[in-house]
Amino acid sequence: MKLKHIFPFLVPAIMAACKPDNQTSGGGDNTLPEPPETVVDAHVFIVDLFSTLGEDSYFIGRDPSVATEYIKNQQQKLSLVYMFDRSDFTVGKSNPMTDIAYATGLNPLFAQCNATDGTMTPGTGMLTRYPISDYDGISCEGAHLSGCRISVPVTGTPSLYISTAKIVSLHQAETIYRERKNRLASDCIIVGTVANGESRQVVDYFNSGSLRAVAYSVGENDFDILVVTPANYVCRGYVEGKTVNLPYYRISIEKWM
Amino acid sequence: MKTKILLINLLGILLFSQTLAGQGISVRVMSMNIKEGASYASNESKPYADLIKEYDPDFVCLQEVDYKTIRNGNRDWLNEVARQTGMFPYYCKSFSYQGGGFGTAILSRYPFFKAFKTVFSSAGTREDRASGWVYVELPSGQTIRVATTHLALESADITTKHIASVNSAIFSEDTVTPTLLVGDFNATPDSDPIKYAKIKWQEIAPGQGNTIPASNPNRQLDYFMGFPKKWTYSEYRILPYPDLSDHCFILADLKFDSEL
Repeated sequence: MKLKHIFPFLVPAIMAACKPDNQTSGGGDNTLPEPPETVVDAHVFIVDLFSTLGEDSYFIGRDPSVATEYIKNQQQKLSLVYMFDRSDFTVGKSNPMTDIAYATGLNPLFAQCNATDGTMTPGTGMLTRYPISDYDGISCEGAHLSGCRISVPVTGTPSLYISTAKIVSLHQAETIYRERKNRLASDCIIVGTVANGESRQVVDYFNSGSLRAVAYSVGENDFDILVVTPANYVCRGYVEGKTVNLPYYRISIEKWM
Repeated sequence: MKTKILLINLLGILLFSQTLAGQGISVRVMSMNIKEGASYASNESKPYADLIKEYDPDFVCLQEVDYKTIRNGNRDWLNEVARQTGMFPYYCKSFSYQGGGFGTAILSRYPFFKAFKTVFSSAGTREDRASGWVYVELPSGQTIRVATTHLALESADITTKHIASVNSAIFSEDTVTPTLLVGDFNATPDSDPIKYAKIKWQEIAPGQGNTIPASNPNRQLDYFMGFPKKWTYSEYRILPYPDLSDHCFILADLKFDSEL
């Protein structure tokens, strides 16, 4: 049966199935214990998110070599993963991620945030210190999530999935939760962005699923920083920075339980 | 913003419905056993990158790839090729070697949203061997899984066990997504391991010719295998480059049609 025959019936059915269900929560009772106020630095790891918190491609008008120098000269606690939102990928052309990886000795990954149109794929580039063999994600009903399993230098935490997503609707959050709720509740952390107008709903949705979600609104940007962790982790905030004209956010996450 | 969000959602739904309709997948795939970390080319990446650019595949499945070993001069060979070709790399380390690693790899024209590897280790084998795969959402909206492998060669029994191990890992994860298993099977077409592999997998483009040694091929060890068994091919080529490997490289345009 050809697509043109089933399409008129398929689209309404799918739209009905994908309709955000305000009655559906991420889970049951969400009475999570509060983490202590005191931060234990040895239990904290860092993710650097390079982002304009907008829709533009990050490296238009910005030189990847600046990011290279930042990474090579980093003096503070080293980041576990460097993320670049958006680091769009053009078919057949060298991606800024592979350029920076080549210059720094790191390893490139790319988490798409939308479907490719054949020549360009929008997404977030990721750099890790070691080659990644376990890279998990979904591409489902317009929702995208991708993350790498990496060793975390925190006692009692052999590895975590450090994932990213660029969420523009509650439906995408619901899809991500439905497809990966077990992993999100145990060993998966999302560091990404959420559309400013949707962040409250998205955060509430993830929190209702016994996760810890928080969104940080920075200035008048279209997107907020989004961090989602299992209950025994907590995001301790971010430090805003800029290297030349590359804005970034150092996000601290603590394993507290 | 709300209009944009609705449009993005509608786009996602349209792409999803296209997937459901089972439209065909068309990809160009290349397999390259590069012999001990590109040793024939002094571990250089450029000759292989140039070849890949010349043939322009969507996926390259590689075997015998070094990662930062002493013998390859501590280079990240795969990332060098990725940078030169504009493709995305996925490295599957089989075992640690000379301060780095040795294994298989995949290069993908499009970013992958999921990737995994399995390592085969068995009594009677000289070394562990990794097979790995990536999931890619193609521009058509279809999703494909492409796997690379380099099967154990110590005996037909061990090779068969290796195939069983790969099957177990691949199919326990997913039995729906159109999948290609590509690489050096270390077995000839009439062998028991290949007969076993073809229970589950379709040998795409059988009988096309020998693939090793590249200087004067006299047997086939390199294959394209597909699952489910709904694959066809065109433009199959055996590419002998004796200055780059002891294996010929293989290249084919492959199509999957769920309605076959």
